[in-house]
Amino acid sequence: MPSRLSCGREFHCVPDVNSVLEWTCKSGFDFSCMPIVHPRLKREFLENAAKNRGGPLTRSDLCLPCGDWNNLVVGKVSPWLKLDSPHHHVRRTSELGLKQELSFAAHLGMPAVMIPVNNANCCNLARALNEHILSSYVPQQYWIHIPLMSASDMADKLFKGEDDAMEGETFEDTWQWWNIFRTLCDSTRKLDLVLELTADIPAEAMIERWLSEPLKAILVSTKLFLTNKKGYPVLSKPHQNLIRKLFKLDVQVILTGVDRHPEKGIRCYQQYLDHLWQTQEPPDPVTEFSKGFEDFLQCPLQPLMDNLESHTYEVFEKDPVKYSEYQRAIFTAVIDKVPEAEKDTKELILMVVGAGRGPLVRAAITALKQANRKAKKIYAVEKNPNAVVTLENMRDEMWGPLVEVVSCDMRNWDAPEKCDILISELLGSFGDNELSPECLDGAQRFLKDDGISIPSDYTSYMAPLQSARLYNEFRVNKDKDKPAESSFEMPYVVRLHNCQMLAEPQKVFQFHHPNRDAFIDNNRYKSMTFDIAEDCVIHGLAGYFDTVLYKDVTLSILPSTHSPGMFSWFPILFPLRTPTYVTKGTKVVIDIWRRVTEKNVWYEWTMVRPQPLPLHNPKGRSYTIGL
Amino acid sequence: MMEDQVPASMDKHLDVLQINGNGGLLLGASSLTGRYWLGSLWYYTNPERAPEVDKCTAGVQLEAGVRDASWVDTQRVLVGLDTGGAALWELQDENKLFGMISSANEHDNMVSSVSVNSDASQFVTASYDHTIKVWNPDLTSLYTYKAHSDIVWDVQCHPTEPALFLSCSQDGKTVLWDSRESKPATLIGKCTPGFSPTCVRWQPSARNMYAVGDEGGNICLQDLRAVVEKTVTYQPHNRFVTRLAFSPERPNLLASVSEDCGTVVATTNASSADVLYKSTGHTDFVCGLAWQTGDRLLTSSWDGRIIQHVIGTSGVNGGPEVKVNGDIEVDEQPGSNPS
Repeated sequence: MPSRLSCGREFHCVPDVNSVLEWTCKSGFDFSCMPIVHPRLKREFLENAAKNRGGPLTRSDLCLPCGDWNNLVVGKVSPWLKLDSPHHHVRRTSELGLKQELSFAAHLGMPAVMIPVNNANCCNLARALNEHILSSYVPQQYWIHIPLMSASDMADKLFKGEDDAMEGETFEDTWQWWNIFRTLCDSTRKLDLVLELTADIPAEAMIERWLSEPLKAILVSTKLFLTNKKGYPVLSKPHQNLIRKLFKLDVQVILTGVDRHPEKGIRCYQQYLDHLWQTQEPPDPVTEFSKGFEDFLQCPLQPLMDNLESHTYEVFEKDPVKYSEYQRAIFTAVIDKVPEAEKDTKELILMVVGAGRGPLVRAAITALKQANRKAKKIYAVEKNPNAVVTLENMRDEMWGPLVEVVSCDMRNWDAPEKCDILISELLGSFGDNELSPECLDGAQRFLKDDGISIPSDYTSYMAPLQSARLYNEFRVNKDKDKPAESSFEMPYVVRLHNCQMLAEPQKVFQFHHPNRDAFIDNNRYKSMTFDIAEDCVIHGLAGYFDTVLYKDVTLSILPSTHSPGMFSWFPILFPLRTPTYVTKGTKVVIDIWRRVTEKNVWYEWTMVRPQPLPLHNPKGRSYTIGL
Repeated sequence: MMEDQVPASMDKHLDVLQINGNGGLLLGASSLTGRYWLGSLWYYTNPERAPEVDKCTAGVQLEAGVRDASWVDTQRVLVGLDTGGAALWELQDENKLFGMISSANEHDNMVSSVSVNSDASQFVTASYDHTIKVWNPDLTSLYTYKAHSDIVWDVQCHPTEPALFLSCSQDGKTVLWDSRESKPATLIGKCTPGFSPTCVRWQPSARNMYAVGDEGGNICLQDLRAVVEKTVTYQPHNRFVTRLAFSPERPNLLASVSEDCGTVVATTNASSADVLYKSTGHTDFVCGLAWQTGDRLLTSSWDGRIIQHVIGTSGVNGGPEVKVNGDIEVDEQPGSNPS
């Protein structure tokens, strides 16, 4: 997170661009938002003498050096542009006026142009902007300015007969405006959202939904500020809390409105907002670890097919929680296996399958010591010959003959003896997606009949998710050698950030080890129904897992039960090809299959209700996990 | 000293014309393009010399454009600025100097309209920030009314009732206000459905009559009293009506100017409106409008010119004289309502 807040100042009146810009910088602001053309300078294009008006449209580009236009000025389009007016001449004049202004903003190389959307009637504005985007090669963003609440809902109740607080009053949902606008623009990444804070703040669920949008900046008016005892402008607690929440998305702030504390100077607003930024709660360890990974799509690891690299091992071995929980699980299992009375006589056989560079071997040795129990042998089985180098060095330098390193795939290994405790860490973000079931089913033949598997159970979970940003990531992730749909037909591991979970996650697949079924079948099929609480768009399905390592020792990446401080797993995300708008109260049915053959495993999934979509990844055509 | 204050040149966009009780003319001008977007105020004891720079008696540069102004008395004028500020200027030193008495900067966006109430005890300003403010004469604000949900285009105080004023907004509403009430606003209906009202004027001779112009060029005359349901609607323009003015001496004459470059005067009564005079002498949006006398009308435009229109008394016969910047032109006069 940047060390200070990026804060801009909005102007409706710029008599002299040089002095305004100089004043902006002196007052501590990083950029200004200003009209491209004088906001009162309406034009006529269709008929009458005014269409032949002479003279310049606006001030010259020479007023500022290019570098200033490029870095310090965000353009604003004129307030009289009504592209969705029912009247032909108003609409046409506005279309042509907007075109002029966007074209000039592109000429100036402004980094962004701010465009207000004041109601749901915004289709022609969206069309006109699309047209401009398609014909412009300038790297310019369009900041779509939407108020948190509509202007009519924010009006005071001054009309005769209007009650101050109407019972069961319903507010217009301004997110719908944004949803219509950006959907018409095909969710292009050229659009950013600028959210204007209002005096009243909508319900929590509404705010959560905004957090799943590509929020670039928030507009904060000086009229929202109160005055503290020392005469300085401050925000109310609810506004502070809201802003802090939005800060998590690294937003910028744009201060708008007249200076209401002239005796203190406009700078004190910027200083206050920066103070809010500086005094954010320090991030928790998981957030700290995830820096830079937010909403970044990663292909899930395939440790069965590929050998992990030293760096990957190092990152995951640093998890402060996972191995201590494994150690606790092994400790409990060891105590259960060897009663106090037999602790000097009974010696256990332990096997770590998929030992990697040895963190579980270490955990096992420590657990045995803690429990004051003996092991006859700890087998460390690892198929990656490069990691075996580490294991053998560790045995020679630290562990001694207690540990036997086996350089072999656990599925092919012919164990010399059966073990009491079989320890593995083969779980992926969706539990079974790194093929832990298949591996452990293969390895359990050398587990004694009364032997213990750590982990003993794991369950995957899933919930529908809204995130326009991640949807765009799916789209751009496409490989040009593959069919267009393929980037939507594979799950991704991703630190979910700019998104909203739309319902509580539900259980998907469960596995138990050792699996004593007469016929082991790891094919699965699950259909889930989710109740949607607010109007939303479903872009994908977030996946999680939890596991029982042994008895009460568990690990979880489910948001509600997440193991504190554990960072080994980010959630998994299954895309949906078509963003689907769903209204409040709708039941969404999601189906998912786990398909298993001799050679590989894959998932197929889709939405069935309210809008059936084609099966994603049929026959594993876009994505499989190799055995 | 006077020469020091008068700007060297006239701003091009002549937004405001207001005649005071002495027959003097206030001209408010803005520069809406070019390097500096400033404005200026000018006073002419002889209105026919406007907008000549060297013929003014007083002139002063403003920090930004000026969209509206209103005389408080013969010497003091209330000005609304693009900065969002309102200022009270006074003619001093025998009309040779403008002095600023007070100012306030409270609107969050440009001021679109200003009005002084009938006993000059309250000022009202409207703004692009959706609000209306009521002020004491020293420009300390009394109330901020947030009832409109879009740009408030115009406010006008009642000619005799100090607490009453009208407002109209891009949100489609025309509202009657009574600043004595805790619920001061009354919606007084929409004239031409689908068109937002852009300007309002009280008819000076009748306590309850007012005219509303809209973005489509329509004007309608209405009576506040609920019993009088009849409204008169005519369409003298085909663009945004920028200003309306009833002739103080002949209150049945309603002048209107518009972004269609036209100036129209209609004879109005409770049941009809007949276009008496029509001019397309301007070549750009017409923004300023003031009756000089019962038959002389001044209009100013973004074309940088002021036109004096002479409105015939009969309404049908004889070509009216039209003076443009001192040159005499003859403009057409339709015999009947073209719409």
